[in-house]
Amino acid sequence: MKKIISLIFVLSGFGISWLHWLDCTRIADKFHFSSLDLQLRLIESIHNDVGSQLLIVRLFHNKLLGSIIDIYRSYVLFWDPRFLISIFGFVGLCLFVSGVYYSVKNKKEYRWLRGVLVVLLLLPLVEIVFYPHIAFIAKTLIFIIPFIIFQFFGALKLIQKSVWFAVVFVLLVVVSLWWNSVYTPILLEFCVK
Amino acid sequence: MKRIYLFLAAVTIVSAVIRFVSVSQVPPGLYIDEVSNGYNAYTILTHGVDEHGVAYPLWFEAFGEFKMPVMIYMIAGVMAFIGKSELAVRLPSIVFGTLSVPLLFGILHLILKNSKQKIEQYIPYVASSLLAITPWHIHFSRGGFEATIALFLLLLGIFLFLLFLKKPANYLIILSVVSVVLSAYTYNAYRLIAPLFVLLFLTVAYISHTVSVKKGITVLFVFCLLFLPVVRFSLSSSGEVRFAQTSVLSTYKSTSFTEKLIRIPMESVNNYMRYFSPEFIFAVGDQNGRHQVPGMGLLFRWEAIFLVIGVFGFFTRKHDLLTLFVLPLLIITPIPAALTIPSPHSLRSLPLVLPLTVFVSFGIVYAYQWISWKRLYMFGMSILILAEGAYFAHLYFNHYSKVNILDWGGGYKEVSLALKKYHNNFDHIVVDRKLSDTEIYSKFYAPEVTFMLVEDSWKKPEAWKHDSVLLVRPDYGEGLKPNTVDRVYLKNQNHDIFAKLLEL
Repeated sequence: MKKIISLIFVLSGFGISWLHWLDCTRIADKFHFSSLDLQLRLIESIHNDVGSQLLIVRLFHNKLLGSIIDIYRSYVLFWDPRFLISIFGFVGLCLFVSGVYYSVKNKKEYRWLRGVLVVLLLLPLVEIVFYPHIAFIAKTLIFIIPFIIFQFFGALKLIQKSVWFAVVFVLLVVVSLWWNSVYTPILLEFCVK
Repeated sequence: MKRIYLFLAAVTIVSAVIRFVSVSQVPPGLYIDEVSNGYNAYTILTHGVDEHGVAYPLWFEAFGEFKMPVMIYMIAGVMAFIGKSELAVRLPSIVFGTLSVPLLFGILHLILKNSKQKIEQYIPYVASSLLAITPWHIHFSRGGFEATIALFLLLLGIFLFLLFLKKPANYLIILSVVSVVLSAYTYNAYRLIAPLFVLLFLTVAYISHTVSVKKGITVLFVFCLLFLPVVRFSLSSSGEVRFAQTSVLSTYKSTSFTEKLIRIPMESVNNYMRYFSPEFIFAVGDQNGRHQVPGMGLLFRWEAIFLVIGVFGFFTRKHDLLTLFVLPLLIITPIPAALTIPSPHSLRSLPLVLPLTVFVSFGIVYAYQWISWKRLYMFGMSILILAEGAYFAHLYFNHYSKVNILDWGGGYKEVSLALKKYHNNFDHIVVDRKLSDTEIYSKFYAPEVTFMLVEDSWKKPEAWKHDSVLLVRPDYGEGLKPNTVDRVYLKNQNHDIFAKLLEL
């Protein structure tokens, strides 16, 4: 029974928010690595280093370092609470955090979840680097599955701890519903319609 | 004990060196609020009045709003010793920014020195060292920002309160409250933060039986007495000016009441969440050129992983007293910033640097505890810190002053100095209103020069037919005219022309 309730919470949070994403054609450009952007930025940076030693210029402004910095920037965007709320709602974010918390806390018991966590940490890199080559719907589904596993695990753990958490989840679902029905500009920052 | 003093001396020296080195060149020039503070401090010191002739005011009028007094009086104090200079304007911020580092050590040491987890006793060392090198804190300590001093006063208040919990002497809690109240007289955001922290202090003191109800009421009375002028000011039309300019409300002026009721809380919640965005903290900051170096976030990139470890590690163990201070700092401090625009705003949310630094320190220490290859870990950490530290230093000292010169009043100092050079050769000086900031800059750099601001369409009046006139206009790259007296160049990479001085 608790499993079913947990699943309902996870799917309701996700369903409320995900409906808005169906209008999107792709994720916003800032989530993707662009070699052209990198080249332009490097040219600008090098221009500001006129007169500096060549070694210093090469050390701080090269394609390898620039790529790492750009990929890092896009990568952290995937962990922006506002982005995650736009996909999973407030309830989904809270369940996800609790899922990760319990999986880390009981690491010996839930070893398989560490594998899911590793996949989850690597998935944004696929989007950052290979974004044009995978269909939008396919990759978003791939991206979402590990999140849902953690959310389900978090919901289950919390409900097992106290049934009162179910009341909190209901409130969070209501907040998510309210947020997503009234406040949509947040989505425009993350997706292209 | 000797080891602690040695560490404190070392970390304070390192912190001071990082904040002092080339401070008059980077950031490149005083920005308009620094110049205004500097000029008001100078007039207070020399004539006992502000720029509008008000004797020893509690609130300083500037650019149609009112500034808090602590910073300006501090600069006046510094100017009494070293005279009117750019360093004098920035010195209070540098000194208190530097002193925040050992103060953070003191707070964490008081809380964690008897920690059951022996490894946690190293956290004060790690956290204070981190604060000393954190880009966010370094940058705001090097400019004349009131927020750095307010943060120091808040830290001092917390430190004194912790001392009070150890040794319940009345003067300690009174000093603690005074310090926190002073922060509200230093920076606008603390008008909201200060009362919340005083309430927190009293609650903690009451729960831990260090204050009786009677003593608590006395402390609350002292707080109210000291805080009353801030409340009166905040509710006055003068105090509301700043709020009206920057609050979220200002974006929904024309919308209906019901829409405001729905939209404003949502906008504020959305703004609030922006402060916890990893992009804001680790990648780009608030993208205001005056607030950070382009290409850097507020914290180092490598700190992100330790922040995650630290947060999970922190909350899986019990830290009663530390949680009482870290959590309010984490939760309360973005609130005033979230109620304003633009958001996120790294200056208004500066106190957030403290809980984040504490969490990162926990992450570093816990990772050290868990990892088997401790030497390799230490070596890797050293490489990471040195590499990103060097990258930050390169961007800060080589790029920042060229790329962001206009964010720091670039050109206005040079215009003022040019006016100082030529003003004796002309009967009248007129400055295009597009360069209206020259007014406050020339008061600071060239007080002997008088001029009038004119519109773009201004023509030399008939009455001045036989007088010589110096006209200062922005330069948009037109060719050199025969009546050009001089040109003002920016100290950026292209040496762009900022303004031209024409003889009429």
